[in-house]
Amino acid sequence: MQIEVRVQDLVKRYKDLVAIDHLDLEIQKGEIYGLLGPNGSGKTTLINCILSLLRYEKGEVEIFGEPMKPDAYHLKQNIGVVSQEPAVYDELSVYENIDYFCGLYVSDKAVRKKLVEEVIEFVQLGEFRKFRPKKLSGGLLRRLNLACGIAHKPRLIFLDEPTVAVDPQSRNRILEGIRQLRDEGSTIVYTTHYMEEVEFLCDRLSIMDRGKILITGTSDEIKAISRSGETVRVETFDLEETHLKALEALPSVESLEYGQAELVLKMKPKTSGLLDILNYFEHHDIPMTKISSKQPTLNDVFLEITGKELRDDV
Amino acid sequence: MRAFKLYFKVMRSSIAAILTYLGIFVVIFNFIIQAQLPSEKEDLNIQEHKIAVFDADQSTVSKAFTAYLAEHAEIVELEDTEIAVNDALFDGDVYYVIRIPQGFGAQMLDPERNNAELNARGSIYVHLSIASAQLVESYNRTFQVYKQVFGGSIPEGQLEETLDSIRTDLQVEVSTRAFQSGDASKLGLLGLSFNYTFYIIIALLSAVIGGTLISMENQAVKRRDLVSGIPERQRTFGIFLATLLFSVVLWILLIVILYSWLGFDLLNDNRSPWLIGVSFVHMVAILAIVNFFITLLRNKGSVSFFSTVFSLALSFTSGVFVPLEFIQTPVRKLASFTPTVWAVKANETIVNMPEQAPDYFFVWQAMGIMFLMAAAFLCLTLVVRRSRQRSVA
Amino acid sequence: MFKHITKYKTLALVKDQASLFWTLFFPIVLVTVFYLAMSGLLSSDMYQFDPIAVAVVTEDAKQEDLEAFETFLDYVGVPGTPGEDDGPLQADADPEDAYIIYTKVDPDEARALLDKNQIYACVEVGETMTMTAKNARNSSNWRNGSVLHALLERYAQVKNTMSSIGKMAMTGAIRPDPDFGDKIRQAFESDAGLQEEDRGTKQGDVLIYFFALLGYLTIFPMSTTVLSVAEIEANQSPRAARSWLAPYPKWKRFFAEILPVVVLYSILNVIIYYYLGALGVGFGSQTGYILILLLLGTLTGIFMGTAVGSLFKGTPGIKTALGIGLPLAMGFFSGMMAAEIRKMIKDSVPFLHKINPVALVTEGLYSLYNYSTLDRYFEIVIRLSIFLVIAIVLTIIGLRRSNYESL
Repeated sequence: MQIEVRVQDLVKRYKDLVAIDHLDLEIQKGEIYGLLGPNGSGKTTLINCILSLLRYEKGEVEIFGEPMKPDAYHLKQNIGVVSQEPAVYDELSVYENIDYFCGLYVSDKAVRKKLVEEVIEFVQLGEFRKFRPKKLSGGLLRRLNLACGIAHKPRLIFLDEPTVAVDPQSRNRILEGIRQLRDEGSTIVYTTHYMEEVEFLCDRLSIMDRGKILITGTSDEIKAISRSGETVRVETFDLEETHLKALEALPSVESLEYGQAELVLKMKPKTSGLLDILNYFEHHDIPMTKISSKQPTLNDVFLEITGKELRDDV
Repeated sequence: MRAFKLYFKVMRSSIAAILTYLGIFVVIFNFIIQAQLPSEKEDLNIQEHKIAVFDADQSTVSKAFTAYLAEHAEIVELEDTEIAVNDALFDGDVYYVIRIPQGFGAQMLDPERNNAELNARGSIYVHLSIASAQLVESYNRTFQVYKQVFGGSIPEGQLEETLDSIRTDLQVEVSTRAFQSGDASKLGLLGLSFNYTFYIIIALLSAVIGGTLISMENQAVKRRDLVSGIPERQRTFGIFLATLLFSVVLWILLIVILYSWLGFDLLNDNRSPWLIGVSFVHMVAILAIVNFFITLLRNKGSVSFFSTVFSLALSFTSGVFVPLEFIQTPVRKLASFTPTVWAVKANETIVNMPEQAPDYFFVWQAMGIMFLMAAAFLCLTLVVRRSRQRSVA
Repeated sequence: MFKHITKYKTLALVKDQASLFWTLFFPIVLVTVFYLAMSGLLSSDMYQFDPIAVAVVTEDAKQEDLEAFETFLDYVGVPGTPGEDDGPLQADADPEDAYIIYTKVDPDEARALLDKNQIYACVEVGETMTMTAKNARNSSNWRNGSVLHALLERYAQVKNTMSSIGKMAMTGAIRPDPDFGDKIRQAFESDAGLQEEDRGTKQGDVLIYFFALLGYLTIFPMSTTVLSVAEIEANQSPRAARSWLAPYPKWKRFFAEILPVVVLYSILNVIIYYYLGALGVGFGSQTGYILILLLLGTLTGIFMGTAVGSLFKGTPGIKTALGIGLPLAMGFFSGMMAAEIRKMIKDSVPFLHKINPVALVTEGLYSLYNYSTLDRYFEIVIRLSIFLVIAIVLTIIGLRRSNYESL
């Protein structure tokens, strides 16, 4: 598999703080690669180091098999970046903004015109082409921001939380668009806090924290390492203490809680938890009004790996 | 008090910018005062003659003439080029340039002539040209008189003696006395310096208050405040009080700098408190005007442009930089709708106040007018804020 | 790509109506206000000499001194009367060609007149002449002292000469003939042959304020360009970060972005120049050289802004303060607000004066107006060009970073 981005032993410090700590990374051609991590984990710093926007103390970065440098214009020609903060000109219209940024990569007018029209259709901003950014809603602005970053059809695209504060319709459109870009051959690096986006989009993902990559793999691979099994919820009234003790003693049950007519059972991983509970209830003729089961999510794994506190410092 | 405290908290983020403005304007202010500092002389200050002489004749007569000029004026050595002469006149290094042409001596001695050609060039200051011309004419006419004494021509053998006599006759003394003590001159400079504080206050207030005010008037923030328990009236009052306190501190700083240069002993002069009073009232009026315009502006980017235009326009048309009598009447009339011209006129009145039976009626009048202007602009500001409040709600 | 960036920068400039408004409004308003304030100085009436109001006290004078002085007064002045309501002394006759307006009073009255500023000075006639005046600097009359002193000296000199001639006649050194007195009088009254040049110096010296104003306006663009670096440096705006990632060298992008700014301000300063001309402020006939100087000044102002913006690591607030404050300070040091400051700076800190770009433009305009040769002008152009080159080099040094320590 061709490696589009290779990072080896990258170290970046901000004075005493180690923002990137001997990080290795490989991103394959044609994949959507997710980068997850709490605030301050180093995701944006990593991307900026890969792009040579930030100086780093140690390590090597290669893009398309060549070392990445600030003046590697032939590499930059094929890279697109969509930053978290909308980076557009308030004075120019939607069309003019896209044309301007596309023009930094594509000098041929005719080709550029075609590309601009295509990307406007892609992000569905056709009826807003004469609008100025201030007149756009948050979602439309994000779409514009996206369009400006990808209009020149780059081979490698970095998307830094492109759907923050975006309405569901725009969000859907953006996510579908990203998939379409991948299908058309682009490699995409995607950072986000939204787990459902990662599960929907990413072929592979890495979880990052404190400048290190903690785990890399597909969504399923990562979920599989979770120490938690499924969670079973049963709605039942007046469950006796003896039954609670018996249920807790079942080999597949990790822990349980009962309150307000709801029994919540955390099952051990790789066990047939739901079946065991159903059997018990049937066997003891205990009535239940409702039962549900939920497999551990990526969010659960994420919180398990990085810690349950929300860290907003750094 | 919340809005009052908030103003200073918001201002904290622009403290570096505020200090930058303050630094630049204090430097300007220091130079202004330094340039105006009076000499230590107790006597009457009279502008000295500063003359450059180019003697192409080099005769006995021309040399005697030049020696006479040297006794009555400061002779400045200059290169005889157009640029050097122009520069010297323009810079005030020389006020009068005299060219003695060839043949001057012969013409002076010529019995058929009662004068000799002499070229001169003055500076912009016509008074100093007139005074220097008097010097020149005095010598020439006295020489002609002595020619007539000898029947129309001075015998060669008596030329030196005659030249000496002329020189002696022209050595006179006219005493000068200052009507008031040296402090009177300083008081005049104090008045002038107070005028310059008007410009500094206008420029500083409009530059420095604007940014913070606009941040606090941000629509989203205001909306939040309006739904809180704080009445808009209280909020407005808090903001105004904060800007007033800040302005007072700035004003005090400028006054302290001013007096530290000119001497704190000037505070003992009974006119000093009047100057301070006028300056304070002017500051309040300017604050009200600045508040009004900033309320209208709403855009941080416009504030810096506004502050420069407003401060310079007001100062130029109100007699701060250019004496009022040089400003055309229609402009002065227009400027009378602003407080600065009233403050300048009041300062002039105070500085020129007679010692016997001083009459400060005009000063009270000017202060009253400035207060009224402050009140008027304050009301206008409240009206604009009230109408904005309705549109935000 | 250069053209593409320039095109869109121009579009953004033109479409940013708020900034455009202020960019145009500020200089036009300033020039108009300045003209309204200063135009009074331009009219020659303002430099006409007004007769000096004087009180004459003769209580201690001898009879012969009194007669001589009265003759002198008739020769140099006209009698006057104190104005109503403590107004200044008014001439009783036409004061044209008079140097003084005088009134004869006793010492107490003279003090009162002086105290109330109805007169400039009080002259006591006696063995020695004494003039008493206030030292307070009143702009319209503080130079009267020189003229009055010179006149009084003249009187004393004539007295001395007459006395010397009298002694010579008494000792027999000279033998006056019958019309000797007439000849002496004629000699005293003869034209001294003094010819004063006026090459428009006065006009030019007043125009210096307008020269300083134009100089200030050429440097004024610094206030906008000090922030323009934020569009180039990736650590100062997200737009700049996006543009940084484009395959185009930063310094080329910078010049492409700055070109429309240069054009805009150059056109603006040309408009200002012609606007001043339309108002009646003439800068002389060497329009071509003037426009070159203005363009050079504009470029200097623009790149001074970019140099400060790229080298100075401060918040936008501080940069704005510098962008506004520095040109004002430079204009001030060039005498835009107070002419004596220019002289003071030139005397006390000559180096500062030599490198102040506003002062350079001011002096360049002055030299074109006043001098018949262009030597001075070219000297100033060279100095200004060196300053410009330094500003450009500093800008490039400031922009040379290829990447950043932090964003």
